[in-house]
Amino acid sequence: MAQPETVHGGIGQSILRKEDARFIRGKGNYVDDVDLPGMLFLDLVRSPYAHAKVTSIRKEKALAVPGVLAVITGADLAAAKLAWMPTLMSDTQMVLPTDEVMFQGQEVAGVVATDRYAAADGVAAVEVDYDPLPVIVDPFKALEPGAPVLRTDKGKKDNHIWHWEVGDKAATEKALKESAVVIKERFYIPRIHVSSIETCGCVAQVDAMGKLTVWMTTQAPHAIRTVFALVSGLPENQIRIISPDIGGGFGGKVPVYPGYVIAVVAALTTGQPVKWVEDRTGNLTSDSFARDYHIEAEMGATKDGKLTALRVKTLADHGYTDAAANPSKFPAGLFHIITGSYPFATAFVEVDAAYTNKPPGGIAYRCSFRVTEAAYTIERMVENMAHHLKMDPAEFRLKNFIPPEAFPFNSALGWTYDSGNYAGALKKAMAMIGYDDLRKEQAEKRRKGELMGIGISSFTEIVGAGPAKQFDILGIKMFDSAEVRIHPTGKVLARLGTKSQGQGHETTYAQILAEELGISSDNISIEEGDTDTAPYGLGTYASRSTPTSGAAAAMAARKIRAKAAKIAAQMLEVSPDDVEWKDHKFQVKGVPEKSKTMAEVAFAAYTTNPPEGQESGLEAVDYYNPPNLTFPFGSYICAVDIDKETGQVKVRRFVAVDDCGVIINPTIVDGQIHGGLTMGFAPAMMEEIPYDAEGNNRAGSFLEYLLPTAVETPKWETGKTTTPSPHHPFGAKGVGESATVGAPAAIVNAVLDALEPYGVTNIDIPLSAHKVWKAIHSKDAA
Amino acid sequence: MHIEGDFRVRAAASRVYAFFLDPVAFTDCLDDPHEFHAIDADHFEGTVTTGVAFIRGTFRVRGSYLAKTPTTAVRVRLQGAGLGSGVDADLELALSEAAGETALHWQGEVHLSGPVATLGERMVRGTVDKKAASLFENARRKIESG
Repeated sequence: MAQPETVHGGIGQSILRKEDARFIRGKGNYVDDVDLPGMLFLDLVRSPYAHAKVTSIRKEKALAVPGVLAVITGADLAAAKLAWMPTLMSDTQMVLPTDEVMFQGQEVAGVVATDRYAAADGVAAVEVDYDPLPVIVDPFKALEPGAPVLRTDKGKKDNHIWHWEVGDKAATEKALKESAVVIKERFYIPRIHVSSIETCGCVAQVDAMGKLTVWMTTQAPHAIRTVFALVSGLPENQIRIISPDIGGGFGGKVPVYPGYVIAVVAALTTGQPVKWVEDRTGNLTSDSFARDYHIEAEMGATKDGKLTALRVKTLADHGYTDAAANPSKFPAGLFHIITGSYPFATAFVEVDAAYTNKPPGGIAYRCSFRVTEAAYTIERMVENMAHHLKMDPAEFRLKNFIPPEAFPFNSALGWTYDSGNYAGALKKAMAMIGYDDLRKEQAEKRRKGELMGIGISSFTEIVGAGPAKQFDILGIKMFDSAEVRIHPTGKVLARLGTKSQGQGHETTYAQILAEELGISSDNISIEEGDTDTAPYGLGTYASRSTPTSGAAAAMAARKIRAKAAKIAAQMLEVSPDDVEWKDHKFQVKGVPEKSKTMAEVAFAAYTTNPPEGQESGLEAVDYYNPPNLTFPFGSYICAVDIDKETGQVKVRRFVAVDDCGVIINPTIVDGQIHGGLTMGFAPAMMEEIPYDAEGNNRAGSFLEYLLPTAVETPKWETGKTTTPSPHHPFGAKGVGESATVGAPAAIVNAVLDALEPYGVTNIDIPLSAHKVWKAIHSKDAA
Repeated sequence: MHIEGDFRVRAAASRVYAFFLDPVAFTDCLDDPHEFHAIDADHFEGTVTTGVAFIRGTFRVRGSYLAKTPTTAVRVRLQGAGLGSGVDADLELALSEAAGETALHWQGEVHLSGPVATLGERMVRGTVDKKAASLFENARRKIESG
């Protein structure tokens, strides 16, 4: 009798990442590693002006540069109706301008040459004349009567893009009026950039049969293929998008950027492959940005500290086009998760969006569609309310959390939270950090005049978009997919509709399949990112891979198991009804010694006559449409010390307790949380893309755009609770973005807790030493 | 960015005024490699290879005399583009003669855009001040020697 194969690398095991075998040897294959015979290079002329009329573009001197073969302008593209393209939010975006430029760094022309250096020399030789126009960088001024209208091409009469609201306005107004305590605060969450180490780029090639292949830094290759087909008119079967290894995406590699389209046009025009890889300044000045939300929040509570109502009014700065990567029905993303971990009886949220002379904004920055903005606001407001009521912020939260028995919980703004135990996570974090002792230490330090603060963030996330009935991007439903094939020797090839950018999909998907099929994860290969081979999917962003494609992998495996059970029954010479899947093998019920492994069944599936009415082979496809989103959560506690004389903030300790449901690989989850915490620390303390009055981006390099290094990054202490999602096939929720969502509020709350004696209720992020010093000393002066 | 300065030159105001109305003579005072020519009495153009810190390259510059008040004032606008950046400067020169010398007060607004403004922000002020001071010092020497 066959012995069951040991299931190495099933769910819950901290196996090493399979993909690291190539990454740690420097053998990853990124877009810039693609090198094709006869390949040409594209570089881009960019606008120095934030708003200007382009009066002329002269190519002659550029074409005289040795090696330069072509200069592509908006006029050239307009002839092919490609000067404009749709954004993912059904707005329009210039590929190259035919009239005006709308932001500093905007692509103005493309230069194609035989090498990168010639292309760069050609860019310097293109002569462009501009007639500068008034610049709008402030969205409030953009909406003032008489402000210059930016999108006259759309027939707009003003710079207002859209208004969106959700909740019960009248009930919230009434509840706030009747609340014993109402607090109000304004927050600006500034424009930031994902700054992946790999910038964006592509290689476009048209073969002899007219088929276009594009190696591309994209998080969503299938959706991109469809967009390319719709924009170019090329048949979709004649387009192949290959997304090879990606050096970080974080949301920034979801949109279609002009460089991609120009490279494709250049390849079609020249008949030779064309590579475009943007430089760091191009990346930081022209690719889509995140955040840029101006928020005004009001929160009500009873005298004894029970939350009553929440009202939030927000102005979103989208730059010159709405190119956010949000689901179509939700122009402000999932911002209405803003009631967070609290059972508000009523809430009302409204968001207006404005055009300004900035690059497109509104993409994620490692968060699921505006969830960081929401989590930051609610956790800052809850902290302020606790301080206002003179209550301990932890006690205040414990008093107000949605209780575990209330799940599934219907929020005031329309979501149904799947599961949660918020008090459990906070209590664990409090125990880990020694909360009570820290408070005692803080009291002692205050007596000595020293500044120490403790900040909490008990966030609820919303990920895994999404249920197809509510979620689509450009009309494409947000399901995702897996195709699983077991070879005759029991080895597995699985292809998925998502695309890893470093998250470890090759390992985690293999672990899911190992668990479901009883086959070692070592014997399971995972492929993603090639639209000619992988099943259609919406890609990886918004922490959706495990909730959607991970679920699809499990469901496809279960389809295979159902078929394999019949083959096993034939092999075991029993009725299929007498076979059960137990201990990772097919067993005759009640006779465990009579069993077959999946590998044995796979061999039989290809080498014996199949059971009556059944096909040979062993493979299945699943397009998974999740019944709901998943709602990961966590509680973070941060302790800071502040130098009163300099305003310098030092994060002394940071404890993060996360609950992402069932964990597939604890080490990978820890890695995701460590990275996410650092990407939460970054905007809280360092990152911002500011603009001067003339629309100049003042952080166009890493000299000015400050990414935290290992030196600045605090030591993270992590913990877990596990509350499975009841609707996910194996209870997982997704974790890629939780830490980025939850961390900023904890850090800022800690700083403001330290400054409580000064009566400071807000400092907008990033918390530079100067801002903190100013807050201390302005209150001192007062 | 506002720039401003003064210098004195041992020459008559009429000579100083004439010097600054000659774009080739005036631009020849730039330290950086350059080549300018007059288009007509009020316009000139050319190139200058310059930069801020590590950002260096060739700018195409067009100049226009916006106002000329014989022997007392000149206003000139310089618009340049290069390195994907833009420079737009509006400069006013006020001349007054006394005791055989001409005092010249110059001031202006310089608007930068593009990578020079973005990347060189911390270095721009010092660079602009240095280049302006050098230009007028060179002009003084040329006028006095010539």
